Amino acid sequence: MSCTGDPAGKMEAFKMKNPKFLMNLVPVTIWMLGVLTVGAAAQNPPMAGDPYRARGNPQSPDGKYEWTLITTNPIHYELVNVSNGRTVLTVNSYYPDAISSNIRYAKAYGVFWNKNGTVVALDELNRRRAGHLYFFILRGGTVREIRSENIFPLPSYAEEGRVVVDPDWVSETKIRVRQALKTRSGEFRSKFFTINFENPDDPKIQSAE
Amino acid sequence: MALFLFGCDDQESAESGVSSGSSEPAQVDLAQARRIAGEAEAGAIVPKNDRDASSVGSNDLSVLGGDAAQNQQAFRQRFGLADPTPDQFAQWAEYDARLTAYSNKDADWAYPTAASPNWTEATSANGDPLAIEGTTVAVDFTRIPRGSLIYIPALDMYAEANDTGATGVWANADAGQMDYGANGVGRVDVYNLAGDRSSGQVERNFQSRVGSNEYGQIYVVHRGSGWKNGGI
Repeated sequence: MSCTGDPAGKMEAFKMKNPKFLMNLVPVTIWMLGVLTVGAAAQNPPMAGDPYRARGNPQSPDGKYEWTLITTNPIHYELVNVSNGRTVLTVNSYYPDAISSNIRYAKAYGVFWNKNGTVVALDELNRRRAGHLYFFILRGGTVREIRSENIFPLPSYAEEGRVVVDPDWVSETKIRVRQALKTRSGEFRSKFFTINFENPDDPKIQSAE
Repeated sequence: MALFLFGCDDQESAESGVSSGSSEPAQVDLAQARRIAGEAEAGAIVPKNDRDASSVGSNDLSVLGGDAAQNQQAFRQRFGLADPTPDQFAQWAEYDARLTAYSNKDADWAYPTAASPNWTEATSANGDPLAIEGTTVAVDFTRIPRGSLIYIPALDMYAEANDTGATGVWANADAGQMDYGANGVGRVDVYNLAGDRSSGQVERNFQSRVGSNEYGQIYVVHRGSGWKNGGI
């Protein structure tokens, strides 16, 4: 950074020399790097590498809950309370028949918890817009399910659509998602949104860049 | 639950146009498809049955791109498939279907793959069975059993139902239409090797080719994959 004679430039130079300012910059930088890294890893479908790799982290930040994949018929996901081993809820895989290709597909799921473990996104592999994105809100021992297709209507020009996490939670309450669309003319479009779960009873959806 | 949805309009102009994926696997697929066709021409793919195999029917499958016509011919030779006779049509189960197209230019899955083993037993770079233009279709496996052999009159094409797609979306979108009616087998999504064409061009070419036959009939020649072992 160059140091100019203008007041703003002096202030920037001061900030960069100030140890306290630099200390504050470290976590921000780490967070930004984390978002960029996760962004590359959480693309659905993955843009590079093995498209069938799992994404995110099945365990909640506090370690109380964990998602597991059950590959017997029907293939399904279970949210388990780690302390007592009880299954809190189950969700069938998009292709539930327990055959090898469907199991391979089901294993490629993504789990994205918010920081305090109150909201989790379960994002199945986006293979030509197959799969579901679910949100689960955990409060007071209860779990509420929100299916993405119920809150993101398919535009009239779209033949097929799917909402995926892209790339992850961008703050403690906001998750960024992408609506992947195949138009009736065969072209592909993506629209980005954030969903704000600050009030879990009233999540807000906004367009995002 | 009260949800406020902003920006979910129907205007294409609101789109960001971002797509994902790589075109690299398409090159792999192209090479694979050409190899298959080459083997067929050289007689390396030997008909599995003693029955006489016919050449490709009168219809041209070049609309499906790449070596679709040659692949269809190799497929017929391998499994002893001939142009259907009136007697065969009478014996086969006829169903309502909707013909749609997909290609290796799909932004949500740029890998030219199929969901279950194909007739060549070749695999793509990611380990998935390879999709082969001229013989591969994606179907709703709850309507047509995985691996079934079908015949599409509008294309004069035999195909192996070994790929699938967003079948939940298909069933919802086409609810009340003939392909998801009582005698319907859902969508039959025909694989295309796009080559230099955009996905939109592939769709337009395909639509021009099938025309009013988008909603029409297909025949399930054999349910399930037993036909590969001479079970037709």
